Amino acid sequence: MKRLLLLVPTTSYRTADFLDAARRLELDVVVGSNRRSVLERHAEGRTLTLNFRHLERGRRQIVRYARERPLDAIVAVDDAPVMLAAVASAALGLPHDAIDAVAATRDKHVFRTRLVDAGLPSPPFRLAAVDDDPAQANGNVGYPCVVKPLGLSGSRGVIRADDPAGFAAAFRRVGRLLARPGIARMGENSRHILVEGYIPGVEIALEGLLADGKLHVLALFDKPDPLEGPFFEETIYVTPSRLAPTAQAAVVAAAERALCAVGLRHGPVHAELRLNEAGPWVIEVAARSIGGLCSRVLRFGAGIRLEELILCHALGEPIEAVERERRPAGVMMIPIPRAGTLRAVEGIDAARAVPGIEDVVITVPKGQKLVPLPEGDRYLGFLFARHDSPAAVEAALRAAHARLDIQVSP
Amino acid sequence: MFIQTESTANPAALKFIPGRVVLGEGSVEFRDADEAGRSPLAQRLFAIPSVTRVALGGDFITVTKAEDTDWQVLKPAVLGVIMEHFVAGRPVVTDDAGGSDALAASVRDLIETRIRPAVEGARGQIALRSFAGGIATVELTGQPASNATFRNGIENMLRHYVPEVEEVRFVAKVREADEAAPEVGLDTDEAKAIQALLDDEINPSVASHGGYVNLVAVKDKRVYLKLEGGCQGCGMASVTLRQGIEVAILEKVPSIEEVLDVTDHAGGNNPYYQADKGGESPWA
Repeated sequence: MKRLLLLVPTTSYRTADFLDAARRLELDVVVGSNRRSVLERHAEGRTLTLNFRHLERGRRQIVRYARERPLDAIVAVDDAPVMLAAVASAALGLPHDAIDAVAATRDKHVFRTRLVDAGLPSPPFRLAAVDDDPAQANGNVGYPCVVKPLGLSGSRGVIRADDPAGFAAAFRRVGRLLARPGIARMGENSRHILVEGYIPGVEIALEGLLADGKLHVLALFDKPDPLEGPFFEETIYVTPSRLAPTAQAAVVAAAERALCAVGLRHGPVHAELRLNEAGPWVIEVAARSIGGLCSRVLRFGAGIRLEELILCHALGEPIEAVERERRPAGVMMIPIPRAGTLRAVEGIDAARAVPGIEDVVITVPKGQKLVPLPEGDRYLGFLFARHDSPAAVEAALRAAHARLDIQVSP
Repeated sequence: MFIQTESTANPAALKFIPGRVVLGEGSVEFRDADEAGRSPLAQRLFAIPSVTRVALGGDFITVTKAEDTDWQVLKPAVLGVIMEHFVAGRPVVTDDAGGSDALAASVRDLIETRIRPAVEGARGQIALRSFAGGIATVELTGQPASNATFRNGIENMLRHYVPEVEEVRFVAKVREADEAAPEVGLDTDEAKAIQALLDDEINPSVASHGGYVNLVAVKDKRVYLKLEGGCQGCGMASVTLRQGIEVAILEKVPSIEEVLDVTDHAGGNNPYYQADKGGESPWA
């Protein structure tokens, strides 16, 4: 039985899905996480406690573990452990991405610099320190622009500004977010803000797997809700894309060039792009698969889940022949209507009854605080749909969402 | 898989919502096991003592109990049956007419004559469990089960030779004993050993996270557990179960083969670890 080390933060949405996939594939799994399992002493060797930020210490722990229990692959779930996965895989001689390439995906300024150095289209941008004078921090970027933390995910802390006054307010707001203790631990990354020109256009997400540097596109998602700011709360993803084939090809080609510029060559990738009359613009690339529970909408070949595909690939199985099912599918990350305390979500049965809706999952327990973007760090829940056409998928998601009554008290 | 429950106007009836399509369209009600002949799911529910009526709807199952039974006792067993049924990919109803029978025979023949030799050559086993509504549910075990390319090839072949096959679902091979519903079975030596393990070692440990693990049933080498308190809905509940509780139980009681979680995780109000978007940098 092959043995896999799964590196997963305790706050991941995807732990159960990856463990289910490993079980279906009959793998021996050890889970490396950032908090000690309460049952560690009852199941020796099945969990590892690792600080994902202390790469050298983590590398030594994993190498020591692998001496007694050899590992066949290391897979990182979510952003936080991707660096340790690369470092430890390198130490054990397992297939992995270049550490430098993975690092570039974890810092938005480094990433954008790599694209420019490779001659790829990029808006004007500059790196500002959080304690810079907001009146000067825009430099020559101009307006409209977007301020971004360097290392946060899920549009957290991303704000559009259309003029100097709006920019100063956005800059200070992101600075306050970065000063929060949980984020300030990021160190240097939490002391800087990326300021870049706003790119208009429709947004697309690409899900892929890299094998020996070749991108295997697993899904191209349209995002039919306009993402124009001031905050960028993602909602609906629908695949296959309704873009013209030539536009889709251009998007894939742009993503390939960006991956090449960064140096990624192995494993799952998730890319965000914008498309306008000037062509495709790569916004971000992550060396991991799609976040939240969104992967549940993807099925490949004979019903294979994305997590299974990722694990198979990590273990050296060929994935070139695997294609997404033909039926259009989509997911809605349920928007947080306002800040407050979640009292109830009514209408779940009615939402499930909408033709095409496959599941409704609420991921915030009742009684918990809801914090919208740009500060918020949680999804309220997810709607999943499969239907005869991408338009029908989108309509089903909107109809189901309209049936939900999300009750929030101040 | 999360199964939600919802009360109905009749206190003896409880609605179970598995988050998956049950009938898709329409509804059907069975008053006893005989009537439920065309529904493997309803048949298994009727195998639970005190279940008196089963109704299937688009996305729900309504179970009615005998008056003298408490839902507290019955609910875990019902949850266990429903979860096991869907996880195993079994059909809810099998009421296809002769046309589908002929197609099922074609699919079975194809598997036996052309696919089985390749699967066995790769040290695996394969069998058609059911074919209904264009979905072929195929039991696959051994190395081919963990090989995505292999599974893809099987699906392509089935679709090619039997165009009515729209989807192929692979499930692990089911033992005969699994066809019966879990019974409580807590008086056995195995159950007592597991309860002692939970009481003496597991629960004192998970209590540090406000959690509690409840033994629901032991049946046919399977243990059914319910995770409560801080474990209910916890983002790491699956790690606690698979990488901790299951390992400890299998070591203590080697005759046990599998540990199943029948918790309604969506109902957890205070999970210890709650999921978030993460995104913290690895540098510090």
